[in-house]
Amino acid sequence: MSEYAENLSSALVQRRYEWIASTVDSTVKKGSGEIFTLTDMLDQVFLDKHLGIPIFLTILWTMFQFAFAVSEPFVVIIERVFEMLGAWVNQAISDPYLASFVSVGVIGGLGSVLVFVPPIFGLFLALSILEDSGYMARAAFVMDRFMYRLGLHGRSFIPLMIGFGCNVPAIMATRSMDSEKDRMITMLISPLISCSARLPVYVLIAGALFGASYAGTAVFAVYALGIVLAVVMALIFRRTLFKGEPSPFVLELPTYAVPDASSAILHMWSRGRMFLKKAGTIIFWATIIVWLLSVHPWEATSGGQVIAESYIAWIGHAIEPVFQPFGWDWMAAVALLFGLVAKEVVVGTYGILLGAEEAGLGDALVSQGLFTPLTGFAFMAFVLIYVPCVAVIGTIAKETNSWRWPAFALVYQTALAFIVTGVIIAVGRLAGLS
Amino acid sequence: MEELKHSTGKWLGAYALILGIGYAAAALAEATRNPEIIPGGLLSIAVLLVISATYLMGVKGLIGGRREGLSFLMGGLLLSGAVGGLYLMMAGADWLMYLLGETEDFAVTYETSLVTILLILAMPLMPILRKMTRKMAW
Amino acid sequence: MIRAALIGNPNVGKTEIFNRLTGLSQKVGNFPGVTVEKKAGRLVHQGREIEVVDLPGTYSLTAHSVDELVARDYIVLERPEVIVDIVDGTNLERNLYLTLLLLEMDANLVVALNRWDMVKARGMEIDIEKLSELLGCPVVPTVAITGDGLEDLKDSIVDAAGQKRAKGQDAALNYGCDIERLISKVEDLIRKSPALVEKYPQRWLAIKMLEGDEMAMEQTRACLSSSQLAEILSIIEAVEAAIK
Repeated sequence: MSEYAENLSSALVQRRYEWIASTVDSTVKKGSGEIFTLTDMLDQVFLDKHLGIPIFLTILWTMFQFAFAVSEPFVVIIERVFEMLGAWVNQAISDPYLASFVSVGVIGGLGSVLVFVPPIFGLFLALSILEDSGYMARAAFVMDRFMYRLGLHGRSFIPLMIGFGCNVPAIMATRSMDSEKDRMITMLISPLISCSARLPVYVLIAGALFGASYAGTAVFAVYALGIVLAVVMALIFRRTLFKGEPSPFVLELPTYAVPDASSAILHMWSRGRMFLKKAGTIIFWATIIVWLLSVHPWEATSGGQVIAESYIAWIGHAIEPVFQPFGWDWMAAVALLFGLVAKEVVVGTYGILLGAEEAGLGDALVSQGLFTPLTGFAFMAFVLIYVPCVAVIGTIAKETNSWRWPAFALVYQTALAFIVTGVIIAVGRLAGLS
Repeated sequence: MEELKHSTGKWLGAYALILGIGYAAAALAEATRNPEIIPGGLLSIAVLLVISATYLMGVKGLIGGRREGLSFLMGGLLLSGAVGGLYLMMAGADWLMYLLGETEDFAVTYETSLVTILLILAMPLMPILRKMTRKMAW
Repeated sequence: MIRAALIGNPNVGKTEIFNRLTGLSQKVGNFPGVTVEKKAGRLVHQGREIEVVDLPGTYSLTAHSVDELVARDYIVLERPEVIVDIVDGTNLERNLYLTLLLLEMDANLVVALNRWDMVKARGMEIDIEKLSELLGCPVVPTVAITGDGLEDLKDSIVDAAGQKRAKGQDAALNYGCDIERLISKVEDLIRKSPALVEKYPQRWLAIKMLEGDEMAMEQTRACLSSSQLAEILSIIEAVEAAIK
C-alpha cells in the first residue's frame, strides 16, 4: 500500500491525482514564460491591499443606488396602474361588498407588493452582473479576512449580500458552503440583513416622522443596526452553538469576463421569480384575510367604513398589551401580527386600517399621532428583527430538513426584537425623548 | 503585453493625475457645498474619493513605465464608467419622475454634472487602453 | 428523446453552455427530496430531441455536500443517456478529478473542453486526440461565451447517446494491482445481489464502499446480507490495519 496514504480512501485519491498528473503531462504543453492577462491586471487593482475594500464598498453603493434610485419612476408607474384599476373597479362594480373585495383586498393587496418588483429586480440584475463578470468572487476574497475575524466564512458573504434583496434566495445560496457549521451560522443570521421587503415599512415610518432631511439617516441607521446585530449574533453562535474556527477559505478566482446581457437577465429572472411567486401566493392570501377581518362584521363596520368595530380591531386590542411598553397602539400590534406572513404586509395592513392610499399613508400616521420619533424608530427596529417571514422560516426548514432550526430562528429573533426594542425605548426615555 | 513606452507612460501618468485631482476636487466641492451632512451624501463623497485614489495610485507606475500603473488606470476607468453611468441613469429616473408629475421640476443636479464632466474627460482613454490591451487574454 | 446531464466544476462556464444549448426553453424545478434547484431545457439536433439537465457545479462527488449528492444521485439513479462534463481547458489538473469520478460511473461521457480561446491565448497546446484516447470518451473544444464548438458538442451528444451504455468497459484509471484486487473482491460481493447490479455501476459502488462513503453504505444495506456487509467491512479494516 502506498506509503503516504493514511487510509484507503486517501490512497484512492492519491492514485487519481497521480493518473491526472501523468495524463496532463502527456497531453498539455504549457505556454512559454509567464503570461500577463487582463485578469491579472484587474486583480492588481480590485484585490489591492488598501484599495480592495474601498472599491468593493463603492461598487456596493453603486449597486444599491441603481436598485433603489433608478427604479423609482417604475415604482410610480406600477402604483398608478393599480390606482387606476382600483378606481375603475369601484365604478364598474355596483355591489359594495364585491367592489370592496376586489379594489381593497385583491388590487390593493397585490399592488402594495408588486410595487417592489422594480427595486428587487434591479438589485438582482446588479448582483447577476457582478457574479457573471467574476467580481463577486473577489468581493468574497477581499472581505474574507474581515469576515474571518467575525467568526464567519468568506463564502457566507455572497448569501448575506443577496439578503439585501430577499432573505429566501440568500438562505438558498448558503448551499455552496461546504462546512455545515459555517452554513448554519450564515443561515441563522441572514434574516437580520434587511431585505427589500422591509424597506417600505422604513420608508413609510421614517418619511412620516423624521422629515425629508433625516429620513435617510433613520433608514440607514436601521440597515446598520441589522448588520451590527448579524455580526454580534454570528460571534455568539460561533462561541456557543457552533464552536470552532471557520473552515479555511478555498476560493478559486474565475477569470473576469464581460457579462452577457441575456445570461444576466436569465439569472435575474430565476432569482426574482421567487419574489413574484411569494407575491402571488402568501402575500395575496394574507391581504385577503386582513381585508376580510377588517370589513366584518359587515353591518357593524358599515361596509368597512368603521374599522374600529371590526374583528381586526378586536384582535388588535387583544394583543395590544404586549406592545404597550413600547408605546404602540393596537394598529401596530395587528400590523406586526400580519407582518409575520411577509413584512410588506405591515404597510398593506396600515393601508387598509387607515383607509388611505399608499401616498397619503404617512400623513395619516402623523395626523393620528400614532408614533413619536422614538417609538417610530423602535417600531422600525422591531420590524427589522422579529421573525423574517413565513417564506424564510419555510426555507430554513427545507434547507436544514428539520423543524428545530426554523423554530429556533423564530424564537431567537423574536426575543432579540423585544430586547433591542426595549433597549432603544429605555435609552431614548432616559435621554428625555417621549 | 509589451512594456510601456516611456513617452506613452509619461503622458498617461499626467492624464491619470489630472483625473485623480479632478475626482478629489469634485469630492471637495460636494463636501463644502452640502452643509447638511447626511450619510447618503457622505457616501457619495467617499465614492468620489475612492475613484480619485484609484487614479492617483496609477500615476507613479505609469510615469515609471510599469504596467501596474496601467492596471490602476484601467480600474479607475471602470469605476468612472460605472459611477458616471449610474448618475446618468439617476438623472434619467428624475426626468421620468418629472414627466410622471411626481416632482415639480426637473434639473440635473450639481453632482451629476460634475461626475458626467469627469466621465467625458476620462472617455478618450478608453479606446487607447483598449488598443493597448487588445491582444491580451482575459 | 435523449436525456443529457451537464456537470462540471464551479466557474467553468457550465451555465453559459446550458443557456446556449437550451435558450429560453428552460424549466426550473427541484431535484426530488431536496431544494436544490434543477434547471432543464430542450433542444432539437439532427432531428433528435435532447433534454438537458443542469446539475450543480461540484469539484467532487462525495456524500459531504448537498450539491454533490444531488449530482451523483441523478447520474446513478436517473441514468441519463449522456453526461456532458464541462472542463476548464486552462486548468485540466483540477478539473479532471471530477471527470475521472464520472468515468467510474459507467456513463456515456462527453467532455467539453471549455475556454478553448483562453487555452490558445495563453499559448498552451492540448493534444485532444490523445486526451480523448486516454479518457476513453470524446473530447470537444468549446468556447461558451461565443458559442464556438457547440455544434460539435451537440453532434457528440447525439453520437454518444447512440452507443450502448459502456457497461464494464476497461477502466480508464487502473488503481494499481494492490487496490484493484480489493475492488474486484468487493465487486464479486456486489454481484451476488441482483438488486445492486441492476441499480448501480458495480465498479463505482465497489470504490465508494472502499472509501467508506456513508450514503453508499446506507443505500446498499437493504440489498446486502449482513454477512456480505461484514465481509466488505472486514476487507476495509484489514487494509486500514495494514496501512498503520
